Amino acid sequence: MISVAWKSLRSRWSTALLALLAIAMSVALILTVEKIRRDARTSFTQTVSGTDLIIGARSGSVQLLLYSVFRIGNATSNISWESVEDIKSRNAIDWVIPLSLGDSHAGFRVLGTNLDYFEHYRYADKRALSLASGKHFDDVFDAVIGSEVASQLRYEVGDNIVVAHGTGSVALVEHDQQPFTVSGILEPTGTPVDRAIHVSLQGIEAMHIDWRNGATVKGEGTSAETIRNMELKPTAVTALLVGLKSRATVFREQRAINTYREEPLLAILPGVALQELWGLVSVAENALMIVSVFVVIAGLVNLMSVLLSGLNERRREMAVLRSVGARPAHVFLLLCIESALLAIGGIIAGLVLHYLIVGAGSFYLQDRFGLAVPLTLPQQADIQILVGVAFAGLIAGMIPALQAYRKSLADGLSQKV
Amino acid sequence: MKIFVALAAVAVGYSITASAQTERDLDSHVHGAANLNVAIADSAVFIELNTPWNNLVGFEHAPRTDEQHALVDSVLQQLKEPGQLFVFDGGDCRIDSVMLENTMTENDTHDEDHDGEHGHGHDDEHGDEHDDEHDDEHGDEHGDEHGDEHDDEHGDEHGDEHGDEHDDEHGDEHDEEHASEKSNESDESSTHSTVLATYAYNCGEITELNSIDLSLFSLWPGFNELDVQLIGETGQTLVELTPENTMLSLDSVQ
Repeated sequence: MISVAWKSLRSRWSTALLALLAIAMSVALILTVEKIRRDARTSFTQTVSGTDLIIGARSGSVQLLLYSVFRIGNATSNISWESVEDIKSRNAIDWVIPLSLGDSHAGFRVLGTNLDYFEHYRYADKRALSLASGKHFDDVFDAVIGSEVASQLRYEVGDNIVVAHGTGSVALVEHDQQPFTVSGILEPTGTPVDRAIHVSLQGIEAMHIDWRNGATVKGEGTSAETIRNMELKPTAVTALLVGLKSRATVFREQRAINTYREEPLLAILPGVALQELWGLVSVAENALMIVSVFVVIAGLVNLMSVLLSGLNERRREMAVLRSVGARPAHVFLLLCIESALLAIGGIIAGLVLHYLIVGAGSFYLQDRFGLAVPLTLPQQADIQILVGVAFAGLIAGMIPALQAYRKSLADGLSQKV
Repeated sequence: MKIFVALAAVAVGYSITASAQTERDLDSHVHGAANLNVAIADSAVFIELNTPWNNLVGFEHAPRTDEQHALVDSVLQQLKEPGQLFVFDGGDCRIDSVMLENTMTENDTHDEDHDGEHGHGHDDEHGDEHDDEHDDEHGDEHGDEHGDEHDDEHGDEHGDEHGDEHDDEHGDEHDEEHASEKSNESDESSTHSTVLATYAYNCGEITELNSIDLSLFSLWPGFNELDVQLIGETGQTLVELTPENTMLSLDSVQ
């Protein structure tokens, strides 16, 4: 029976192939949409781990999360160093990682921080940052770069880099009096850390010493040696990552910081803010999903139309089958098997296409958005989608099959040739 | 200057005229909505309920009639007995302490509990203490002087007439020491009031704890939605509960 169906399909391979391709493309689309949705979430979720609170200027929790951790968008204002000292001195607080953003190098963000960053920052499943080569910064002009910065700009430990004011890739003012030296390169993490250049808070201050007057004049900059001997005290930072001694105190600290009198600050729980972000994003995700579902339906309608139009051409074939002893049920089954073969073939081709798309696109996504989209085996949700498509394909095939079942004999014999 | 003080007092409430740099700094206050914070740490579960009084009793001013007094007192009593509020599924959890912080009825006398580290022992006293204070001291202090007008015109009055008095009374002990801790709890008392109930549980088998069922919605129909910040061993999340969905699953953070 299957071999008959197979041969029947082969004899009309061009229309069959088109139907299969339509299903394949719709399956690939729905799988890819689902995968990017899932991986975007994982990628975001994995970026920050083990941080109890993020503190920034008072704005929105989602905004604070985006600019502090994912480096998307900019801060509304900074936190004064006095407040940072105040927060650090609170009893419940275990560690504080200051983050100072706002400068760039060749399109990559420069992050001013301190050594606590390397000690306490965690990503994925509470993994710490580790160095692929070199060492952490210990001089004002040392920089530790992320793996992607290193690979894209071909930097190695010991290279000099010049940091620019502002975050555009074409900067108007370059802090070229104070070149930084790459002191270390981090292991890849699959997070925005890979795309950051880490310098000390003193380094951030140092590169702005000549900027303080409003602009720099070439050739008149302060020498690196002079700066090293200056006492560089940061005046403000963009955000703080905070770890607490006990999880039980998170909400109390959050409330205390949100009602801190000296400066309007906002403390957020990163996981909670992420959840809020998903709430916003889910509208767009649902829209994408609905579009994908309709594309799948269109693919199945196409399958049905191919089979139905095929029926007309195959009246004789059916009649011959009946005359050699095939019962109407056999004809019905034959058409069902044909549509199932097409649907399953479409699903397999769709899977292959999906992996090709993901394989080709993942470099781009990683490069442009720092989004890790690795090739993985189909997840449970994917399998549910595939089973759903297969079932829908079978049902779509049953309609022409029923029609053939009803009129196979009379139709075929009465036809004039 | 007098006008400014009066305005500031109306804007930010009752007892902060002394210090404060960001004086007109109000928290959002949404009737029907409330926050619930749940933290699971080691073998303990901490639950904080922060809600406008409106959700509980339908008003937020100081109780004026005996009925309102009785209602507020009964709600406070209910909040002190969390057995009805939270039903734990598994975990063998026992209530360890309860603490109420209430901004209704201008009770600025509960601030001794506001230092950074709250202990567990004082909670019961606190609730009682608070009720007593509210009745006695409050009645004496303000009731005699101002009678009925007090509730309505409270903001202006304090700004104008009693600014100094309050600075003297509360300025030192209250504002400076506790400024950063409790601004949102007392500042809104003239127009809005909230209650913050904190519960600490000790659990024998914390890993067996699956979910917490909340009966807030059935006890107080004023609750429409509850935003739950949930933190545990494996992460943090946000859950929204509604009268139709009152079960807080802890799977995602355990």
